[in-house]
Amino acid sequence: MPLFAKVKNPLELVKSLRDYLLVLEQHGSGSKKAEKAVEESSKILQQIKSILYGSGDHEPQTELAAQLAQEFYNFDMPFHIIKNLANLDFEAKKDVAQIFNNILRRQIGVRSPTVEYICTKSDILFMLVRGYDNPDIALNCGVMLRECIKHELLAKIVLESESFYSFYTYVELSTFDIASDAFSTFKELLTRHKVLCAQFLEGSYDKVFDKYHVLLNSENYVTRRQSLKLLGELLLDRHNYTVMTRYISNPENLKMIMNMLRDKSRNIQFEAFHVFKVFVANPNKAKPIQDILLKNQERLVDFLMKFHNDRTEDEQFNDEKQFLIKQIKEMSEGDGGKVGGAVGGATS
Amino acid sequence: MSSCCQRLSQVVPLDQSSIATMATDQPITFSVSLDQSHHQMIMDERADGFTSNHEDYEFFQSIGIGCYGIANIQLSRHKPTNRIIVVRQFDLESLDTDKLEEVQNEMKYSSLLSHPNILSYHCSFVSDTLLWAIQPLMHYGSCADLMHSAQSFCNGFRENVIVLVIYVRAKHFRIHEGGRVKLSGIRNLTSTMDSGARKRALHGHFQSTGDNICWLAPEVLAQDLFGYTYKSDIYSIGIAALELATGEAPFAGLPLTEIMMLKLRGHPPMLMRRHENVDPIQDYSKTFFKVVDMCVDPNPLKRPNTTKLLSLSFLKSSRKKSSVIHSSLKDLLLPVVPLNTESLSPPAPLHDQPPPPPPSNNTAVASTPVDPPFRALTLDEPWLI
Repeated sequence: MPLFAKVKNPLELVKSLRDYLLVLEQHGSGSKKAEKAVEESSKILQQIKSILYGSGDHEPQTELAAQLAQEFYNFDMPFHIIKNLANLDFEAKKDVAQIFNNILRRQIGVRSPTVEYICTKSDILFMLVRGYDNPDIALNCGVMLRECIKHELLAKIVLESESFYSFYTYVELSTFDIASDAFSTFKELLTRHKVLCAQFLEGSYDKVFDKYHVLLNSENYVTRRQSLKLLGELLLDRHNYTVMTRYISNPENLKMIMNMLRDKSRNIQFEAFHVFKVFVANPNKAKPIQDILLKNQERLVDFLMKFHNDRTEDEQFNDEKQFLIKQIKEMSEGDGGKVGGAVGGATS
Repeated sequence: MSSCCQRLSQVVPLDQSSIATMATDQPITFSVSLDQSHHQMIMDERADGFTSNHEDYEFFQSIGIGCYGIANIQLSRHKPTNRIIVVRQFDLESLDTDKLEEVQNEMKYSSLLSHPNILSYHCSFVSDTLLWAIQPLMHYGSCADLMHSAQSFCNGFRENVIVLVIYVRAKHFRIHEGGRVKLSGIRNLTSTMDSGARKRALHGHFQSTGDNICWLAPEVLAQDLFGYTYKSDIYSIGIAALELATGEAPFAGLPLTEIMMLKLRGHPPMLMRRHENVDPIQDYSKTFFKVVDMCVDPNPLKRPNTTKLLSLSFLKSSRKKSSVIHSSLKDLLLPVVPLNTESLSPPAPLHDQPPPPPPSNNTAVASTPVDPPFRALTLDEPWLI
């Protein structure tokens, strides 16, 4: 921002930004008018950013920042700005994300006014999710969306909507950077707010895990590896006890995980081990689970004895492996799988 | 040769004012807007129709290894557009979760950065367990490569070259055919923006700290409550200047703990020649030493900020019209010539033979990607399910 230029007040800034965004909406890209609007909105966004964040050694101006936020709500700016995000230029998109995140963290006492505002305008969240469809804005939307779902109220809206399920497509996108970003948002949604997540997973168990199995069998190595790791984390989280019990009583799940133990990728084998251990460590194994384990008793013991023996430094892994070998060895027909008891590090 | 994933800079927020701190030819002011035409150029470079299909790329030869030694760097041609580019193949199977995340961040940051002096990726995609990341070809390679392979630079560059190249670390200065210097190694970027707030100082180590200890400022190593700021990057610039001048970073070769102790005690880095019979002082001006001394001051507050640094006459020449600089850098690098891609493109259409290797490159030829080392499974029989 030029030091001596006339500094507009927040109302003026927001008003003119809105006007330029309207021009963009009406004229599309390419026209002279639109070009000017793109240029001008970049400048305004920079000014807004320096009010909120300060510039150089200058601290942000709290009073102006508060006014600015108020005008943002009054003019529905978060909505309009995200709607037109794709039309802005490269740096302006990043500015938008930073402005949005700054306004989002605003607090008045215990209230978070921006969170309340977005609750009434949940379209904003859905627009951000759909942002992953457009490579030009996907990462910017990801930055904003992850900030939103740090707030439980907003995470709930996303989880309970259909748009949550589009993540199953996004994490498999062929563009690596966008897929990676989508996965971190997906993971955040499923793990951040423990109680909410557990309720969600229980309530939507079938839909969530049906689709999840597609990820576990993805052709994309990274998707497979990451989703398997996340599955292990979800099952071992004590909040998800009910979900875990349900998951490990399904023999189809066990079969899949046992096959993954023998995947050609060592990382996948290793992650599969951390899911497999939950099946074995369960003191109340369902009959079908027990049957499969018994049928493969010798093979499993043999297999585990040779499984990743070079991981000598990982003590927890080695303890767990020994525990599993012992468990499987001691299994016999008719004992209901009730051997052992405490599950070493498996549930920690 | 050490791996290529060394530290670029630890305190580079992803906003444009900070990008400006890394630019060689941008005026530094608060929140300066970058020249729009640059952006356009970069955007064109990015929206360039590079495809996410590995079959669209044809390898000529391997030109290096990077990223903890797991990235195979291949000189390649994008068949649909017939352009010569570089494919970096990361073997993801050999990365643990943390390093995988690091690589993922590198790709994300790269897409969020757009600057003529930053070497970013065109696109990246996964094929089997390999990550393919497509990058423009830097015809001269990195400055470290030049110092290690070209006879004329084995004792470092002359001062006038350093002025043109001066940013952060020789390994990460790559020189384009036109003489434009680009910064690579985005993996270790850190944003000073966090959850809608600007962090005044950073804390914490990076995975690669050990590899990069020579370039790290004392306050980064100290890990105290004060943390560190962009001034730590200024220190790294000073070290990089010394590295470019001598061919070796100061302290290089000493045990890690010793480097750490020396730095924490405020021991200033010294100019050391790899070949001791050459007097280090004669080639460089007093100003050069003065600037470097300021940059590597153990007290971050005494180091110049970027505005000050660029206003020094020492660096002023690099702010002249960029075209002049770029052509002059090309002349200064003679007799080293850029990698000649003419002979590569297009490959002989009728005969299915690989094209001849470029004359200026004598690195080992290994055109087939090495299969990742999977451990053979011990159990051949299937599960009984």
